[in-house]
Amino acid sequence: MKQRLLLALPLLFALALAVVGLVVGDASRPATIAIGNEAGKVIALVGCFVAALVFDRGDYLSRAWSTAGLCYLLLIVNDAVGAAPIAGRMSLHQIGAAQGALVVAANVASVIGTLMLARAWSFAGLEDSEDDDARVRRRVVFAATIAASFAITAWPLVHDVRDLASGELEAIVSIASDLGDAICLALVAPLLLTALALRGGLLLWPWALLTGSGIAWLVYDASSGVVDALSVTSTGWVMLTESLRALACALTLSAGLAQRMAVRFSDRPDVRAA
Amino acid sequence: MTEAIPTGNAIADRIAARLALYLGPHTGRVAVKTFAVKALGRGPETLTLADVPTLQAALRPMLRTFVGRSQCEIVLQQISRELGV
Repeated sequence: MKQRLLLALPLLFALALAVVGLVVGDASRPATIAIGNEAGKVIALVGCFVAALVFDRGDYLSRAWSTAGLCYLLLIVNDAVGAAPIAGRMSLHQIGAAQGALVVAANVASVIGTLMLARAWSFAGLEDSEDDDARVRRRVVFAATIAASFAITAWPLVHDVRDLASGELEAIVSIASDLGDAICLALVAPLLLTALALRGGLLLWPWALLTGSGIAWLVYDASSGVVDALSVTSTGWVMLTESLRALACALTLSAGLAQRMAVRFSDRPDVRAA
Repeated sequence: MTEAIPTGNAIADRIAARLALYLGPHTGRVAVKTFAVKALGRGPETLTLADVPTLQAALRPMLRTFVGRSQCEIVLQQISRELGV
């Protein structure tokens, strides 16, 4: 029941953002989007650290969740650097350098954190339990997700590489971001396969919700790619894209809470095996 | 993943049921089978109470990964208590 609520709340959060964004006037919409964007990063950060803190220091998943959370923390700091009170005290060059470094570091953290979460199955030694059919299935799903993620991120990547080739060094930051997105999206496959393997158990939920978050990021990237490539200004399309980002972040919060609930389950005195 | 069916061994099935709370019934059984073969060199259908500590030691890294060090020990203690070892 509680786990179903963890699925419903992110959907409500995304829906609420979309409705508010559509209802407010054009003048207030950018602020609404900015608030939704920052709120999303904050709740995803909370989710990652709520999960990390349920483990002992040094535990594999503590490190995985902390690293994933570091991405959101760095992105929040990045936004703060760009905000007027801080940006006003720095030169344009300093702001560019600081934000570039923060975005690259955030993407590195995102890739490492997601990779660790996606590798938990193998790290636990359960890969050895798979037969040949399962290994083939795992590789096929992984290959399909890699193809989908690069199909979605190829356009911005090509665009940014072209900018770099024409001498725009700032494009390095965008390229790092594109590659980070591509790798994280490709890692949806092992997250999904882990969730499927854990069906019927409490640990299904963190991996299922992480998979949902990854899929929401995948669709968000595709949708925002359309917005950028075709210069879409339709309010409905823009708010759909923004609500997908909100959904992805809120599902990360839910995944963190589900992780905490699953680990804490054994503390209950009434726990009995089936 | 390999198809897992109940082993018919009460000890293996009891451990699998405990793991199933976290890993689901399929992976719970597969984990017992995998780590029994790894640690004892034989299948879960042959498990005796004397094998339980060895199997628990083999399960420990997997459980630590998924539920952390502290909760792993709680789960292993629950298994010991249920089996009376």
